[in-house]
Amino acid sequence: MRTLRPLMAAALVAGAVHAQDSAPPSGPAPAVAAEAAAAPASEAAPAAVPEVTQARPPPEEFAGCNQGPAHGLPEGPVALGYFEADMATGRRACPRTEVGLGGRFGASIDTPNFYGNLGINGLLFGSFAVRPDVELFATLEAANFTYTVNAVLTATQLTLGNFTLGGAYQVLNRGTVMGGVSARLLLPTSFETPGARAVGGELGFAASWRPKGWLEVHGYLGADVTSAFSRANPYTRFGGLLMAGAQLQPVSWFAFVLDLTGRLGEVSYFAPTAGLRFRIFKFGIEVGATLPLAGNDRHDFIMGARFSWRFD
Amino acid sequence: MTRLVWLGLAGALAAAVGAGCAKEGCLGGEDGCRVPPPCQKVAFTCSGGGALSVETISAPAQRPGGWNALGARGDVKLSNGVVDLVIAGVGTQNYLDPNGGSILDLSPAGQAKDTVNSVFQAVGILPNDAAWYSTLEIIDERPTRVAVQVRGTLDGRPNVPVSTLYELRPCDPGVRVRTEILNGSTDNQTWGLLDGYYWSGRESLPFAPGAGEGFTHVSFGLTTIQKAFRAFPYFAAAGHSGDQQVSAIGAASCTDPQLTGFHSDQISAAGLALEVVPPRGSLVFERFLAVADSKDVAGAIELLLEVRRQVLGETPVTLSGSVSRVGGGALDAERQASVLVSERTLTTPADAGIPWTQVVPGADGTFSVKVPGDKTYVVEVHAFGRKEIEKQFEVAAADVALGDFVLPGIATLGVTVQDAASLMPIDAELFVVPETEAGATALAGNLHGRFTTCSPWLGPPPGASPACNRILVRNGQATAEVPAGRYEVLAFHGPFWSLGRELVDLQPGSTSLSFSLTRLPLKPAGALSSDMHVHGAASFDSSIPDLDRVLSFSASDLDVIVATDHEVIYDYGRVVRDLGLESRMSTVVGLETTGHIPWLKVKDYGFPLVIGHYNFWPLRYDPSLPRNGAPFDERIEPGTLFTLAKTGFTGLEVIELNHPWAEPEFGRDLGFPRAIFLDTTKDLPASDDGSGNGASVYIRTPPGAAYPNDGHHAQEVLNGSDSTLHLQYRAFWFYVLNQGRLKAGTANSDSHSLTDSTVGVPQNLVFTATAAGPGFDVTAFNTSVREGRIIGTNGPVISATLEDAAGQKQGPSVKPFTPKAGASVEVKVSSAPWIPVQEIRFVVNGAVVKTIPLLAQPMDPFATSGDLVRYEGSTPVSELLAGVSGDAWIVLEAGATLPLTADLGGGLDLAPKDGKEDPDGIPDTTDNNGDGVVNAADVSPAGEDRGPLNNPPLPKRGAVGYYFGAITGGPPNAFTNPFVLDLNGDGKFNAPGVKGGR
Repeated sequence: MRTLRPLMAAALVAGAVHAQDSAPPSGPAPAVAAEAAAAPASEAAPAAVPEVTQARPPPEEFAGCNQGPAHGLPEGPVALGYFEADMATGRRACPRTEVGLGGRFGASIDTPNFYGNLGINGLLFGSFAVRPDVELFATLEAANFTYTVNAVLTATQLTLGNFTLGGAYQVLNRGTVMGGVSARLLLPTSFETPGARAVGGELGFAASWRPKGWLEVHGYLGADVTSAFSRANPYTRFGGLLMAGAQLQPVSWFAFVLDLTGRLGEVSYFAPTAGLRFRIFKFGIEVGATLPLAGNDRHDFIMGARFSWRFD
Repeated sequence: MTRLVWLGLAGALAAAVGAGCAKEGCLGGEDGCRVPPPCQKVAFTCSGGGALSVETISAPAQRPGGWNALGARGDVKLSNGVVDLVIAGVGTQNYLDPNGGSILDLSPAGQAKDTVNSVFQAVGILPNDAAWYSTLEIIDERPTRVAVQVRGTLDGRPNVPVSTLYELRPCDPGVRVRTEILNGSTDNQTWGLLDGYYWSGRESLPFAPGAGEGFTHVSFGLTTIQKAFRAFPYFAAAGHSGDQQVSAIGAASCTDPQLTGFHSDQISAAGLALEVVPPRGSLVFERFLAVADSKDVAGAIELLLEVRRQVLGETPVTLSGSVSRVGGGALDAERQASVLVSERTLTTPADAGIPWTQVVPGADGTFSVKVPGDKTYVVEVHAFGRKEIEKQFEVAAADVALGDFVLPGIATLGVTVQDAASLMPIDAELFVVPETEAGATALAGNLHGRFTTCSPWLGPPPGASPACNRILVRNGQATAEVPAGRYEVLAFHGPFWSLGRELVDLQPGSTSLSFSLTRLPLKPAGALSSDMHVHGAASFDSSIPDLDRVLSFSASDLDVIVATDHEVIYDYGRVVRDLGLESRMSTVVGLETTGHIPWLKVKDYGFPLVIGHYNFWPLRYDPSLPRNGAPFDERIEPGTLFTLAKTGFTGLEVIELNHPWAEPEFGRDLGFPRAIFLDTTKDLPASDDGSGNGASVYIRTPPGAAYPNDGHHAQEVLNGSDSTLHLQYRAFWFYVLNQGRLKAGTANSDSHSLTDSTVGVPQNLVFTATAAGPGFDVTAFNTSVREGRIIGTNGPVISATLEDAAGQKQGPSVKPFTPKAGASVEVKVSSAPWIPVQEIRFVVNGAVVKTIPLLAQPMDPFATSGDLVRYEGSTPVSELLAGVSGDAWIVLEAGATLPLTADLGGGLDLAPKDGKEDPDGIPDTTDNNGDGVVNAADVSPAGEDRGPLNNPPLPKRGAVGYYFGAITGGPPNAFTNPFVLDLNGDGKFNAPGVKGGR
């Protein structure tokens, strides 16, 4: 946790600076900000501490997020993607604090080309709402199992997978409409690639409109880059992602989500994703599946499940 | 927020910066990159320093020697005075290497001992798993090193770059190799970065340490190949052609304790273990390929153990000993003594031990080998294919003297063969056959479990004489060592001569036999005995030396032989002249194209195909060119191949479809119609309907081609001495005749050695105006071949004529004519006394309409005189054509009765989709359980839909035809080409179709 502290502090400071830009000065500095200011100079973002003078916006300004799905129910786009550790899966607009376990299973079966690939990820994920408008989040592929077929030759692999770490900041909160920017870094933790360690990043904007208590319409626009620390050509690759979807929540403990995702880049696809969400108090369950209908991605489908516990 | 954004960007930037660091070798993909020198922990020293050279081959004199040597113009030859290495020039496709850059030749420097077909790089078994090199760079850094760097991608996968460096340093007894590959795709891959060693059933046998392995390996097919993957510390392969033109090669990793791969007598793979390689993943493989001037694998293994000592710190020990034989005798050949060293005890089953090395003693009987220390070894001494001695030794860390191993005495058989009429010595082939079944069992042997098991085993079956149980007689003389025992020795000089036989009890010491053979009045006047499909050591799957090959032509008393070596144009003319045979024998320069890289797709079948094998002659032989001038034959349809070959013809061409219905071998199709699942239950369309099904592909003309895909002139109806698939080839020939696509039927041995098939058995009696010898006119000969003026036979001779409307007697031919009203087919069938003929069949439009059974058989198979005619008579055409409307063709057959067969499958599973193959009109299964019907109960192994198609059992000792079976391994067969009858007189032949006009 100690190694994450500078990043957290930096994110907090960045969020505070933004607050200074958009809200009138009033009230005492929030305790959490003060904690960031009190961090050692070597760990905190430089020159940020003197600017941390703004009060946290009153809670009622985050009514949109508060009007969201019932406590514990996952929200935003279904977190089921085609890439490393939740890269390019979109992001919810509202911060929250939660931890969870998940699994992802993807299959590519290309019989005419004698190719097959099955991938199973065991995921640890979590987010921490540093403030009502700031969130840090991370996903770790704690176990990454791959089974790949080349004609009749097969191989398996079980390694520590990828790790992504990011932050989100809510920049729009107009009653039923919310929006936030997010950034995610793909860190070189995985041992799965011989001769290379994958790295990358993603920037995105997530929006949510909640016209009714039972309906959320959400979207995400993002750009990502992946590369590698490698003895070989790292093949730095860029991509753009556009996602739109809706969540219907007929009862407080269940919701249905349908997202449509289009991606352009070295790997491109257009894919619907469907998800079912449940909650038991603060315990949330999300199961989903996606399959590309167009593009060059070779997945036949990806399915996954997540179990989370919400703290805030 | 701005800072958060910048932080993310900074992270991405850091990744990009890090990613942009200097890359290893050519993995970065930069122009001008260099693959690092491989095997930097390895160093060899020598006196004199080793003279490095590198040159691009531009003239035949620069080509390396050896039966497997392929280097030609445009290829690069490197040498360090110890090793010669040839890398295929870019654009020069050879075998499984799609575009050059592979190792073509690797041998002791300056010696004609290349035992390598091809060593290429691949990551799997699919065609697009092989490296396609597009650039070749010569690195001349003498006196430090010479090298060749090739770069490219996997075949058809531009996002997967591959680079390989082949490097020779002074004194190195081998080549250092490093290959780098990068997964630039966006998919996970299963790769094993491997060297593929293409042996193709030739003389080189791979040897790898492993429990129950050594020379023996797990059998596998394309779909079961993964179970054959093993880890092994090294592997080696030596040539076993039985002559002096052999050497040994081997490989060991320069970085890891183990190589991983598989071995068979067709192909070996050795490299990195299979693993998942995600996008951006890269693999690097460094190895040392050792070369030794030895007849055994021990020579190469000693070098590989030295590499492992330097890389891994292992210290081998030396085992030394000697072999002698009771009564003395030479010990400088592998057949005479071969020492196998295995880690086991005498109480351990031999197939559970770990063979570590094998050595052939020197002429003085001494030997020494290096093996890992601290093990218990059993040392076996093998002679003439059998284990004669084994002793156990405890080996610690010090060298061990093994002492003397004394082999039993051996008999020396001297033979003379002469023409009974002229008393002149003649060339012949001897078949040594144990007198009894018990003797056959006791004397059976093989080469450490490999190649054919023979009784007796006189030498490696694929190589020089003596091979298996066969001995060539040159100019009436032969000498061979034979294990003691009672034998029948058969002297053979072709199917139109008497067969000699002597019963002999061979004991240690010398024994002499004499044979006098009689030319029988069987071969019709004006006919040339011709074998139009033979192979010698120039073929990638043969290792019979040229001299023995040509001698075997003469031993079978052939007049015309077409050289049809795989993938290379070849000319036996020089050897014919060297043997003084040019006055009575003519050889024609030709080629057998042999697809290796699957690519062709047909409708409703998902796997890629190759187009099978075709013979072409006469062709221009140019030894300076790749494949001696043979056309590129991969990834093109037959019509395009025929067109490419056209420029090389030196006379009227013949294109022959070979073994049209042979089963694929290792996923490579051997016959075009079988490959494309041609459904012979249906008529061919008049023109390509564009459907892409078998019929469409069979008749279409590829874009830019001058020939349709069925533009060949002849097809094999008999192939191989045992005629195994005769019924299938015959059925297909009858089908195309019924389609009005009139192709000449031929009969060829397809011999690759003295053992697999005997040249001239079967053969074509080509009725032509030219004669063998100096005045031979290949165009006249080919005109006759194309017109089908051929009797195909492995013994019986059919003479058949039919009067045409003008009253002229016509022989069989694919030229249509109108028969005289009331005409009869005049038939005479004759054969040598040792060749039984059980029946004569008349085939009309594909159906047997009349059989003349139970012909009298000669009492004495070794008779040299007497009546050879088994049948003579006539049959009215009207009788044969009863029930047939329209035009018709008539083929006559003579020989053994045909077995009961059925067509249970072979086709695509189209309708209904029941998971079973549909019938394809070609017989595929015999009555294997003998219940009088052919059905699923006859099929084996379980799970198959059809087969096998077996020959009838060979006659037992004492039965009629036993000696014919001992020579050929199959039943007697002969056929005529068709009488093609234009019955309605419209000047053309109207195809009767699959129903045969019935």
